[in-house]
Amino acid sequence: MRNTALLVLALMVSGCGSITSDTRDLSESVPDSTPSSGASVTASPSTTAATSSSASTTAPSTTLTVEENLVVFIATLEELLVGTSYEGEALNEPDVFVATGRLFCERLDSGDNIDDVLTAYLDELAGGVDIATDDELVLVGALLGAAVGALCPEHAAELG
Amino acid sequence: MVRTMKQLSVLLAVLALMVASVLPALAQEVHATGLDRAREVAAQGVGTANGLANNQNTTGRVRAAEAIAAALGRGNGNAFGRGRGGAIHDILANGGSPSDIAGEHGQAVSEMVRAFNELRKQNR
Repeated sequence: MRNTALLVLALMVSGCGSITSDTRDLSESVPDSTPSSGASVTASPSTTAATSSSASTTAPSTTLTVEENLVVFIATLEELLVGTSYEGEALNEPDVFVATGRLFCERLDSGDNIDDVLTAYLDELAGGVDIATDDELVLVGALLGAAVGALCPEHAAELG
Repeated sequence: MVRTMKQLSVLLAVLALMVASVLPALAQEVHATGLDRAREVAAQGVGTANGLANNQNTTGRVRAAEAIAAALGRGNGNAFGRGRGGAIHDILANGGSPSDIAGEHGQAVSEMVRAFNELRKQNR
Protein backbone atom coordinates (compact mmCIF):
# COMPACT_ATOMS: atom_id res chain seq x y z
CA MET A 1 0.00 0.00 0.00
CA ARG A 2 2.80 2.41 0.99
CA ASN A 3 4.71 1.40 -2.12
CA THR A 4 1.68 2.21 -4.27
CA ALA A 5 1.38 5.67 -2.69
CA LEU A 6 5.07 6.33 -3.32
CA LEU A 7 4.65 5.22 -6.92
CA VAL A 8 1.71 7.56 -7.43
CA LEU A 9 3.69 10.42 -5.84
CA ALA A 10 6.67 9.73 -8.09
CA LEU A 11 4.46 9.73 -11.17
CA MET A 12 2.93 13.06 -10.14
CA VAL A 13 6.36 14.62 -9.65
CA SER A 14 7.60 13.38 -13.03
CA GLY A 15 4.43 14.76 -14.63
CA CYS A 16 5.11 18.19 -13.19
CA GLY A 17 8.61 18.01 -14.59
CA SER A 18 7.34 17.51 -18.10
CA ILE A 19 5.00 20.48 -17.80
CA THR A 20 7.87 22.66 -16.64
CA SER A 21 10.03 21.59 -19.51
CA ASP A 22 7.22 22.26 -22.02
CA THR A 23 6.81 25.77 -20.70
CA ARG A 24 10.51 26.46 -21.00
CA ASP A 25 10.59 25.15 -24.55
CA LEU A 26 7.68 27.38 -25.47
CA SER A 27 9.28 30.49 -24.04
CA GLU A 28 12.56 29.69 -25.74
CA SER A 29 10.81 29.44 -29.09
CA VAL A 30 9.74 33.09 -28.94
CA PRO A 31 13.13 34.62 -29.83
CA ASP A 32 13.41 32.16 -32.72
CA SER A 33 10.29 33.59 -34.31
CA THR A 34 11.55 37.17 -34.19
CA PRO A 35 14.19 36.93 -36.91
CA SER A 36 11.74 35.29 -39.27
CA SER A 37 9.49 38.34 -39.07
CA GLY A 38 12.42 40.49 -40.15
CA ALA A 39 13.60 38.08 -42.81
CA SER A 40 11.79 39.85 -45.60
CA VAL A 41 13.60 43.00 -44.63
CA THR A 42 17.06 41.55 -44.94
CA ALA A 43 16.24 40.95 -48.58
CA SER A 44 17.04 44.60 -49.12
CA PRO A 45 20.74 44.96 -48.36
CA SER A 46 21.10 48.49 -49.74
CA THR A 47 18.51 49.86 -47.37
CA THR A 48 19.93 48.01 -44.41
CA ALA A 49 23.41 49.23 -45.15
CA ALA A 50 22.36 52.81 -45.56
CA THR A 51 20.51 53.02 -42.28
CA SER A 52 21.99 50.40 -40.01
CA SER A 53 24.52 52.58 -38.21
CA SER A 54 21.98 54.58 -36.27
CA ALA A 55 18.94 52.37 -36.49
CA SER A 56 20.41 49.17 -35.14
CA THR A 57 20.91 50.68 -31.70
CA THR A 58 17.24 50.19 -30.79
CA ALA A 59 15.01 47.28 -31.83
CA PRO A 60 16.76 45.97 -34.96
CA SER A 61 14.18 43.74 -36.61
CA THR A 62 11.21 46.04 -36.01
CA THR A 63 13.19 49.12 -37.01
CA LEU A 64 14.37 47.60 -40.27
CA THR A 65 10.86 46.55 -41.20
CA VAL A 66 9.61 50.08 -40.70
CA GLU A 67 12.53 51.62 -42.54
CA GLU A 68 12.01 49.46 -45.59
CA ASN A 69 8.51 50.87 -45.95
CA LEU A 70 9.71 54.37 -45.22
CA VAL A 71 12.37 54.25 -47.92
CA VAL A 72 9.75 53.32 -50.49
CA PHE A 73 7.40 55.97 -49.09
CA ILE A 74 9.95 58.79 -49.31
CA ALA A 75 11.29 57.67 -52.70
CA THR A 76 7.73 57.56 -54.06
CA LEU A 77 7.02 61.07 -52.81
CA GLU A 78 10.20 62.42 -54.31
CA GLU A 79 9.30 60.96 -57.66
CA LEU A 80 5.73 62.30 -57.59
CA LEU A 81 6.66 65.77 -56.39
CA VAL A 82 9.22 66.52 -59.11
CA GLY A 83 8.43 69.87 -60.69
CA THR A 84 6.32 71.12 -57.78
CA SER A 85 7.28 73.55 -55.06
CA TYR A 86 7.59 70.52 -52.75
CA GLU A 87 10.35 68.86 -54.78
CA GLY A 88 13.22 67.86 -52.49
CA GLU A 89 11.29 68.50 -49.28
CA ALA A 90 10.63 64.81 -48.56
CA LEU A 91 14.38 64.28 -48.51
CA ASN A 92 15.01 67.38 -46.40
CA GLU A 93 12.28 66.69 -43.82
CA PRO A 94 11.30 63.02 -44.10
CA ASP A 95 9.84 62.97 -40.59
CA VAL A 96 7.15 65.50 -41.46
CA PHE A 97 6.10 63.53 -44.53
CA VAL A 98 6.20 60.21 -42.67
CA ALA A 99 4.08 61.56 -39.82
CA THR A 100 1.54 62.91 -42.31
CA GLY A 101 1.49 59.64 -44.26
CA ARG A 102 0.88 57.67 -41.09
CA LEU A 103 -1.87 60.06 -40.09
CA PHE A 104 -3.56 59.49 -43.44
CA CYS A 105 -3.37 55.73 -42.84
CA GLU A 106 -4.84 56.18 -39.36
CA ARG A 107 -7.78 58.07 -40.81
CA LEU A 108 -8.37 55.38 -43.41
CA ASP A 109 -8.13 52.75 -40.67
CA SER A 110 -10.72 54.61 -38.65
CA GLY A 111 -13.24 54.50 -41.51
CA ASP A 112 -12.64 57.70 -43.48
CA ASN A 113 -12.78 57.23 -47.24
CA ILE A 114 -10.25 58.58 -49.72
CA ASP A 115 -12.17 61.80 -50.40
CA ASP A 116 -12.61 62.45 -46.67
CA VAL A 117 -8.85 62.31 -46.15
CA LEU A 118 -8.01 64.41 -49.20
CA THR A 119 -10.62 67.04 -48.32
CA ALA A 120 -9.70 67.23 -44.63
CA TYR A 121 -6.00 67.74 -45.38
CA LEU A 122 -6.62 70.28 -48.14
CA ASP A 123 -8.96 72.19 -45.81
CA GLU A 124 -6.12 72.54 -43.32
CA LEU A 125 -3.29 73.05 -45.80
CA ALA A 126 -4.90 75.31 -48.38
CA GLY A 127 -8.18 76.45 -46.85
CA GLY A 128 -10.26 74.17 -49.05
CA VAL A 129 -10.21 72.00 -52.14
CA ASP A 130 -11.65 74.78 -54.30
CA ILE A 131 -8.80 77.19 -53.67
CA ALA A 132 -5.95 74.70 -53.46
CA THR A 133 -3.14 75.21 -55.95
CA ASP A 134 -2.15 72.45 -58.31
CA ASP A 135 1.01 71.85 -56.27
CA GLU A 136 -1.10 71.37 -53.14
CA LEU A 137 -3.42 68.96 -54.96
CA VAL A 138 -0.41 67.00 -56.19
CA LEU A 139 1.10 67.02 -52.69
CA VAL A 140 -1.98 65.61 -50.99
CA GLY A 141 -2.46 63.05 -53.75
CA ALA A 142 1.19 62.05 -53.54
CA LEU A 143 1.05 61.76 -49.77
CA LEU A 144 -2.03 59.58 -49.91
CA GLY A 145 -0.77 57.41 -52.77
CA ALA A 146 2.66 56.92 -51.24
CA ALA A 147 1.12 56.22 -47.83
CA VAL A 148 -1.29 53.62 -49.19
CA GLY A 149 1.36 52.08 -51.43
CA ALA A 150 4.08 51.85 -48.80
CA LEU A 151 2.58 52.21 -45.31
CA CYS A 152 -0.97 50.84 -45.42
CA PRO A 153 -1.39 48.77 -48.61
CA GLU A 154 -4.53 47.19 -47.20
CA HIS A 155 -6.34 50.33 -48.43
CA ALA A 156 -5.05 50.11 -52.01
CA ALA A 157 -8.35 48.83 -53.38
CA GLU A 158 -10.07 52.01 -52.20
CA LEU A 159 -7.99 54.01 -54.66
CA GLY A 160 -9.26 51.95 -57.55
CA MET B 1 -40.39 104.29 -70.54
CA VAL B 2 -42.05 102.57 -67.59
CA ARG B 3 -42.63 99.53 -69.72
CA THR B 4 -38.94 99.48 -70.70
CA MET B 5 -37.92 99.71 -67.03
CA LYS B 6 -40.19 96.81 -66.20
CA GLN B 7 -38.75 94.75 -69.00
CA LEU B 8 -35.24 95.57 -67.82
CA SER B 9 -36.09 94.55 -64.25
CA VAL B 10 -37.50 91.26 -65.43
CA LEU B 11 -34.44 90.69 -67.57
CA LEU B 12 -32.12 91.44 -64.63
CA ALA B 13 -34.11 89.13 -62.38
CA VAL B 14 -33.89 86.32 -64.91
CA LEU B 15 -30.16 86.91 -65.31
CA ALA B 16 -29.68 86.87 -61.52
CA LEU B 17 -31.57 83.60 -61.27
CA MET B 18 -29.46 82.08 -64.03
CA VAL B 19 -26.20 83.15 -62.35
CA ALA B 20 -27.42 81.90 -58.99
CA SER B 21 -28.26 78.52 -60.44
CA VAL B 22 -24.96 78.17 -62.31
CA LEU B 23 -22.57 79.28 -59.56
CA PRO B 24 -23.04 76.34 -57.17
CA ALA B 25 -22.69 73.90 -60.04
CA LEU B 26 -19.53 75.67 -61.13
CA ALA B 27 -18.13 75.56 -57.60
CA GLN B 28 -19.00 71.89 -57.34
CA GLU B 29 -17.24 71.24 -60.62
CA VAL B 30 -14.10 72.99 -59.41
CA HIS B 31 -14.30 70.98 -56.20
CA ALA B 32 -14.66 67.73 -58.12
CA THR B 33 -11.85 68.67 -60.47
CA GLY B 34 -9.54 69.35 -57.53
CA LEU B 35 -10.35 66.04 -55.89
CA ASP B 36 -10.04 64.26 -59.23
CA ARG B 37 -6.56 65.68 -59.64
CA ALA B 38 -5.55 64.57 -56.13
CA ARG B 39 -7.11 61.12 -56.63
CA GLU B 40 -5.32 60.73 -59.94
CA VAL B 41 -1.94 61.46 -58.33
CA ALA B 42 -2.79 59.16 -55.42
CA ALA B 43 -3.54 56.25 -57.74
CA GLN B 44 -0.32 56.96 -59.59
CA GLY B 45 1.46 56.98 -56.23
CA VAL B 46 0.35 53.47 -55.37
CA GLY B 47 1.74 52.24 -58.68
CA THR B 48 5.00 54.12 -58.14
CA ALA B 49 5.36 52.72 -54.63
CA ASN B 50 4.78 49.17 -55.86
CA GLY B 51 7.37 49.65 -58.58
CA LEU B 52 9.93 51.04 -56.15
CA ALA B 53 9.22 48.27 -53.64
CA ASN B 54 10.17 45.70 -56.26
CA ASN B 55 13.27 47.53 -57.45
CA GLN B 56 15.77 48.02 -54.68
CA ASN B 57 18.61 49.64 -56.56
CA THR B 58 17.00 52.77 -57.88
CA THR B 59 18.64 56.12 -57.26
CA GLY B 60 15.45 57.33 -55.62
CA ARG B 61 15.53 54.58 -53.03
CA VAL B 62 19.20 55.13 -52.27
CA ARG B 63 18.60 58.86 -51.79
CA ALA B 64 15.54 58.18 -49.64
CA ALA B 65 17.49 55.74 -47.48
CA GLU B 66 20.26 58.31 -47.04
CA ALA B 67 17.74 61.01 -46.11
CA ILE B 68 16.12 58.75 -43.52
CA ALA B 69 19.50 57.74 -42.12
CA ALA B 70 20.45 61.41 -41.84
CA ALA B 71 17.19 62.21 -40.05
CA LEU B 72 17.72 59.29 -37.69
CA GLY B 73 21.22 60.58 -37.02
CA ARG B 74 19.78 63.95 -36.13
CA GLY B 75 17.19 62.18 -34.01
CA ASN B 76 19.96 60.54 -32.06
CA GLY B 77 21.29 63.96 -31.17
CA ASN B 78 24.14 64.28 -33.64
CA ALA B 79 24.57 67.91 -34.61
CA PHE B 80 20.88 68.52 -34.63
CA GLY B 81 19.96 72.01 -33.57
CA ARG B 82 16.23 72.21 -33.97
CA GLY B 83 15.15 70.75 -30.69
CA ARG B 84 12.93 68.05 -32.09
CA GLY B 85 15.41 65.20 -32.39
CA GLY B 86 13.44 62.96 -30.07
CA ALA B 87 10.29 63.41 -32.11
CA ILE B 88 12.11 62.60 -35.34
CA HIS B 89 13.58 59.44 -33.87
CA ASP B 90 10.18 58.46 -32.54
CA ILE B 91 8.53 58.97 -35.90
CA LEU B 92 11.16 57.33 -38.04
CA ALA B 93 12.56 54.53 -35.94
CA ASN B 94 9.90 53.40 -33.54
CA GLY B 95 6.74 53.87 -35.53
CA GLY B 96 5.64 56.63 -33.21
CA SER B 97 2.85 58.99 -34.08
CA PRO B 98 3.52 62.21 -32.21
CA SER B 99 0.74 64.71 -31.82
CA ASP B 100 3.00 67.61 -32.57
CA ILE B 101 6.12 68.28 -34.60
CA ALA B 102 7.71 71.53 -33.67
CA GLY B 103 10.78 73.19 -35.08
CA GLU B 104 12.01 75.35 -37.89
CA HIS B 105 11.19 74.49 -41.47
CA GLY B 106 10.95 76.12 -44.85
CA GLN B 107 7.67 77.81 -45.73
CA ALA B 108 6.18 74.83 -47.59
CA VAL B 109 6.99 72.32 -44.86
CA SER B 110 5.85 74.73 -42.14
CA GLU B 111 2.42 74.74 -43.75
CA MET B 112 2.49 70.95 -43.84
CA VAL B 113 3.37 70.79 -40.15
CA ARG B 114 0.55 73.19 -39.29
CA ALA B 115 -1.91 71.14 -41.38
CA PHE B 116 -0.66 67.95 -39.73
CA ASN B 117 -1.20 69.36 -36.27
CA GLU B 118 -4.70 70.58 -37.10
CA LEU B 119 -5.63 67.26 -38.67
CA ARG B 120 -4.18 65.44 -35.70
CA LYS B 121 -6.40 67.40 -33.34
CA GLN B 122 -9.46 66.16 -35.24
CA ASN B 123 -8.40 62.58 -34.56
CA ARG B 124 -8.49 62.98 -30.79
